[in-house]
Amino acid sequence: MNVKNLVLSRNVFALLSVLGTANNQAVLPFITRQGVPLVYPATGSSLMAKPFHQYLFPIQVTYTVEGKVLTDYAAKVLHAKRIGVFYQNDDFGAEGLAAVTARAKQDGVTLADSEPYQITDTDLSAQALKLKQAKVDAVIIFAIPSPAGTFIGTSRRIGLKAALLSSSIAAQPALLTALGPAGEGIYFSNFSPLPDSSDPKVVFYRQVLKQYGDPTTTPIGPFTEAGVGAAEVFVEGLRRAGRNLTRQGFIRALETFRAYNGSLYPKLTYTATNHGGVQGAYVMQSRHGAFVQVAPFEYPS
Amino acid sequence: MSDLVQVVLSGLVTGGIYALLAAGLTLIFQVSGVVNFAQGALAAVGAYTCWSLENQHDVALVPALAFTACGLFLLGCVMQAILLRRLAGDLASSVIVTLGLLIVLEGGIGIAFGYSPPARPLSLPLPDGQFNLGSWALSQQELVLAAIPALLVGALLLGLRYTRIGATVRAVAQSARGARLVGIRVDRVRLGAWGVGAILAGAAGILIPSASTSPISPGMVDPYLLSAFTGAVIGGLDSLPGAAVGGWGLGIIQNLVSYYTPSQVTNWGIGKDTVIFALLLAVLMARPTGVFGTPIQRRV
Repeated sequence: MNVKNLVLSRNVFALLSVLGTANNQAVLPFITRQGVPLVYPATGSSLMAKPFHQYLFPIQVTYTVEGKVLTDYAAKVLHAKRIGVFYQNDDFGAEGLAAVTARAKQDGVTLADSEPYQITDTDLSAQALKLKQAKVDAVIIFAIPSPAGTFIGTSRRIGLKAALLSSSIAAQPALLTALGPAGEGIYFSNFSPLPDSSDPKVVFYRQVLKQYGDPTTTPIGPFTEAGVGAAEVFVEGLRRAGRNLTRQGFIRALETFRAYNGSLYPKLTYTATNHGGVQGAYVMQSRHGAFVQVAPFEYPS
Repeated sequence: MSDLVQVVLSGLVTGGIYALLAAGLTLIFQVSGVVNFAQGALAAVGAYTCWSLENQHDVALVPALAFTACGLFLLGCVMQAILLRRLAGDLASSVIVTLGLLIVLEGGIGIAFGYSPPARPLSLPLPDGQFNLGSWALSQQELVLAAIPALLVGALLLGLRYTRIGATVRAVAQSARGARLVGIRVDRVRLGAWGVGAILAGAAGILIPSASTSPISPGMVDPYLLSAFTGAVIGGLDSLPGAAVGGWGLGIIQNLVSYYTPSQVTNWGIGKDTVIFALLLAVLMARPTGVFGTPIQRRV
């Protein structure tokens, strides 16, 4: 409804960041019919890139890539032999589970147990207990922040000693502070630089927030970083499209990106037949309430 | 066996939050005839008020809790006095108004504090260790989180049973007309019920971040409210102890079903929600007023 309002009533030129797999899938037929480009559908679902959608320009790394990176890290760095998965019972979680299942086989580790949760669940102790019973060495989490926090806190309370690795979706500083000591040592995948990095692009991001943002509503963190990064991609597309701006011209301009490194996102490539977004991720760990990178970028096959 | 004990204990923690919400819902319903769909939003207001006092105004925890309770009491009274008083008996309108209040309150929290979770948490100073009961090692934190709602609901029930104010509340709940005839100020009792109902909601809101180890957010109570309402209906909306027991029972049943249902079955969409709503249907068909509710009697 909001997207229709923006396109039909407000006559917007393009869209930036619709949140969530289901929402993006819902608006896709409409924006395709209307010919409206959407930059940064805010989801890591592979469905945003495959099959190819002319008007969609995903940026976020897919849950499939995250699943592969986290499984590789658990198997090769943490030497886990038995992996468990805790996942949201929808397309987001299912994609992560499928990726971990396939990659675990490739890496020679056992997928010992997988436990789904519903987004309305308020207690996740049953899932944590079953993963503990399965004697897993590592649990890979595909959950949004609130249930991820509940699961991590519950796991620690019931004595689940496995390493916990999570998709970037749950990598929120507020989650770490809510967890307290239970949030120490959790691994997360990520595809953009750390918000407190000294990387010049991140310094610029913090400057933008300081000048135009509000610490209450736009705090420094992964979500505002995602927004600024998406805007940078959008603006570069507008710049390349030139003065006689049309929607088709904007799309063609975005499709000239070849390993573009001018935004917060690394090596962004769009072609006339592939709008894949970021294709790799790295692993970071929570230490003393902050995130520390512990592995280099991986571009899994 | 120790896993079963853990499942039940965790269910008591979640069920305690349901019981607090259900007790507030039921108290308000019994005394004013209104189903308060804004109960979850009141819980969020309580959580954010306490958080703001502690983190933005450096108020110590105990005074912050006291001030939050007073503020919620006043808010509940204002809601009743200004918005709901004239709708007594008009179920449809009161549903619409309380749903509107839900949206306004949650939206107001979002505007005032933002929709992203705040950087600093709302956490209670809970013990971190384990309590050994025979061969069972139970989390002290969970034991305390399970005990707090029991104490609050217990205090409410004792107050209603053994105090003069409690007697007037029960009288109004039984018959507002009859209560008026014996000189009870029904409007004042309703104000008080809304105030206490709001405090119970706020208590639930303050416990949720510790119970769920997740940050506060404007909509954080929404998943709990549906279960709390279901528990209240199963227990009996005209029985405050019944509604509270319904909440606790629901928390335990949800956990047991989650624990014993294989994940493949859950993937098919058959899980605790299926069981809970099947239970709700069964109770409504067999005993529409709830397990502990007063059966409807008709003269024939």
